[in-house]
Amino acid sequence: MMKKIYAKRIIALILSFSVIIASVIFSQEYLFINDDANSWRVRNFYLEEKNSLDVVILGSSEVFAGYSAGLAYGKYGYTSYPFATDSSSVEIWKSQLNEVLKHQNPSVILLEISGVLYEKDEQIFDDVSLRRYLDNIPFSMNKIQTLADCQLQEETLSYLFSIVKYHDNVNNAVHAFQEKMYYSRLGYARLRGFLTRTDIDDAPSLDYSGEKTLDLNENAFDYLTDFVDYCKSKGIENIVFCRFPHKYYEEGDLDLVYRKNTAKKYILEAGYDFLDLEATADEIGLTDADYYNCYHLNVFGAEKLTDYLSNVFINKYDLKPRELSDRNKIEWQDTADVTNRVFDYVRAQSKKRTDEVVFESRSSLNVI
Amino acid sequence: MELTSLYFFAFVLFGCLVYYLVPKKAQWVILLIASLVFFAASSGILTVYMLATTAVIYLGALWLSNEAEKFDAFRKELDKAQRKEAKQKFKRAQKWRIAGIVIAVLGILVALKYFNLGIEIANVVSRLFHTGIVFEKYSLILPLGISYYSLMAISYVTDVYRGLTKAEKNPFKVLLFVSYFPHITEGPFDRYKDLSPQFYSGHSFDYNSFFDGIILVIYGLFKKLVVADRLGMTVSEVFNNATAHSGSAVVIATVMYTIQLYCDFSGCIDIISGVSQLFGIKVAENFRQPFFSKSINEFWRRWHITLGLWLKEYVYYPVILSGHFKKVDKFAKNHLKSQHLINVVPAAYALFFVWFSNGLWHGASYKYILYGLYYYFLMMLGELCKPLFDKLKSLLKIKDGNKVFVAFQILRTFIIVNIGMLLFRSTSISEFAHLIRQSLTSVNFFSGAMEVMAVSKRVVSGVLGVIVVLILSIIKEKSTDKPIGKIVRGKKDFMGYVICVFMVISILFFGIYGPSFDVADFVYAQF
Repeated sequence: MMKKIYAKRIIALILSFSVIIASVIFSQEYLFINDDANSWRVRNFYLEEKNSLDVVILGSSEVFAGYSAGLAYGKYGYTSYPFATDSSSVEIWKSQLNEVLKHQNPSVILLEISGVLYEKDEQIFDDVSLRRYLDNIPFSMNKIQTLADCQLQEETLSYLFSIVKYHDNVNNAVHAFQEKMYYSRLGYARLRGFLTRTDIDDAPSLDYSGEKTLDLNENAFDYLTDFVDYCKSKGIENIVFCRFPHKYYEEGDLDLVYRKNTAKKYILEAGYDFLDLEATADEIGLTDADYYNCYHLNVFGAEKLTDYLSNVFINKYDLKPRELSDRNKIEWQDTADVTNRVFDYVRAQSKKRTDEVVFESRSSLNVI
Repeated sequence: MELTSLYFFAFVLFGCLVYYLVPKKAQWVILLIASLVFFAASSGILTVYMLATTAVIYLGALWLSNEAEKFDAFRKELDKAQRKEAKQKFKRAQKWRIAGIVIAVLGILVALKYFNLGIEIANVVSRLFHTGIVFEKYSLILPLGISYYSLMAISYVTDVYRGLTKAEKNPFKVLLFVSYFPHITEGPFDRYKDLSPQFYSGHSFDYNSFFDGIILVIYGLFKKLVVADRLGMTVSEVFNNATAHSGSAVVIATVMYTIQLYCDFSGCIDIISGVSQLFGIKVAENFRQPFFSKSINEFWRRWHITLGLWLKEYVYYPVILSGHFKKVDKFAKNHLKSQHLINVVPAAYALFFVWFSNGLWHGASYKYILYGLYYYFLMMLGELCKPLFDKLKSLLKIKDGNKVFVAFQILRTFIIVNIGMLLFRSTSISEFAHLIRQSLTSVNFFSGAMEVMAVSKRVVSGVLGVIVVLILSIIKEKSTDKPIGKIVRGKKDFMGYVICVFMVISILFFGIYGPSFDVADFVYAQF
């Protein structure tokens, strides 16, 4: 009799805990999630078929605004993905690299270095920027290591269990669920993380040629050296550092250029390649009208830069597109087609300077 | 260590594990260690005040007890006439001793908590007499639960003085009573004679009792995190910008605040009771569905019950046994013609001290004193007018159990309580007066409710939580105070698991916790 009672209690406890844990997992995966372009860009990286990407580009918003994977595939036949989030910092580079190498074996990894150019510690250790990436990667040893490597501003539990941070997103839960189901059913992101604005900022830039240098932030430099050492220790040779094109309106802004020069010098001395796309802006064919603001290329600029980088990958780094599965080919062709439609739309809207943000979401692509 | 934090629950569960593994005789030692760790983690070096208080009452109780024993031995040698005189002398001496001990304990409390109020009064007097002297206030950090453990300490030594409890010879057992970690932050005010048998009797693990404790803890967390803190966010937004809102919005926010305060405080008490129950120890009940009260008197017998009992035992009874009270009583009998007044006036004299103390205990501010006297005034008014009300009831042929009349009484009491809560919530008496005036400017409660909802949509889940609490409160009221654990489990344990799972998921989904919020401290912990 007692055994029966104990058995009932054990079963009841196990069932109760199971229901609670299942609710937490479901809500974390489908309801209480960040529902913005950055979050979907990170999450949708994991929808890419394993080892199907020829190129992965890491960095900040310059990357997903200034480069289009859809255009690249459509014109040059290789696959790529911008594994990048707004204002991302050098403190996550190692983690991002590990995530890429866990799921993909790209021929080229391009790393845009804006994350190492911040002047202040608050920018390097900004929690919002960190969470744009960290809250959207799956739970793994790399995620735990990232928590140890980064300077966390909030309780650790909130980074491990997103429900702790986002359970108040109840109002957005339905929309988040719908987006999640949309991408899960689709199996890929149609625009592969591309985002732009329908605007043209044609103000002229200051001249920023020259090799003047400025010291990097101390913490940023430590992270950079640690990252380079890490790449060397892992024998990662296919990583190429770069700086996407920008415009500069005030003298004070040029500090970014001087810090870039410092970083560039260090990276080259370490034996890695550095594509200074600011210095080759003319070669790329960029004009002042190819930006929607001083830090980001618009669709006109993105097309030019995508062409330029594609030629660099193919000619300089001998990129040969890999064989894709039949299904993957269909998906990438769809990406190329949708990208072309989006670009047509954005070009037309940009000329009107409507300044709307265009990115992939369930509702926005239907409109386009 | 917050009572709603994971660290606290990990601490409790670890404590439970060790507690039930050690021999029963040693269980109280585990409780003592856990209590001291909890206190030190929360108060650090300020633990010394709690230890000082414990030392004073331990030595004081032994002193009283020794003197009583000495007197018992001495008086056997005396004749009848000598005994009477010696007894009176002894009683006077014991009174001075207990007074000294209580003053020592209260002295620590007053010095830390009421120092700045004293400075404020001194400055008012200085201004009145134009001395030009301005006394400086100091920012003092209070040790955890000083308002609670000080009063419990006084209750112990007073019970020893009255012969209700024997003086404890083991100082660590007295220390356990004072520092017992579940009740140190917000009470309830337990008495030594109720807790000590439970501390030292030893407990075997009982699944049903443990489960009931867990249910209580979960219910407490639900009240605090889902209801109180959610309502609190909206209440704060309305009151921080009260002039921008309509009078009816202020009224609704006041009602929400009352519910917030109830769920915050009773939720904490549920967590404390539940945690204590995990160790097999039942603490005193502190809330009994107070919003079903039909009068203010009844309300204070259902709200913060142990504070009311403490004030009755250790303020009211000493006052009515004092010489001054006897003079007032004699004066009333000699000068008042109405028997009713002869009864009410002396009671009013004694109750003034009770309600003044009630207000003062809540905080070192005129506002809190006024809060206590607000209820005193209303109760005395009620008592004075009782014959009139009884006549009116008889004229209107209203019977006491009449449902409509009961509903009227409950609503009337609720309104009175809400006015008191508005005073409690206000930052000053002048702000309270202003808000009362503002509340009377509009009576469109529907638009007021819409206005409050618009402040924060987060309040919706809080309101749904209120409905859950209301349902359980009604069931508890109708079942003559069956414990929540037994109500939730019902006839089959299965329901207990289902309701617990529902509440846990509600807490995880709708609770105010995590870095997106500033988690509110328990309101009564500040006292």
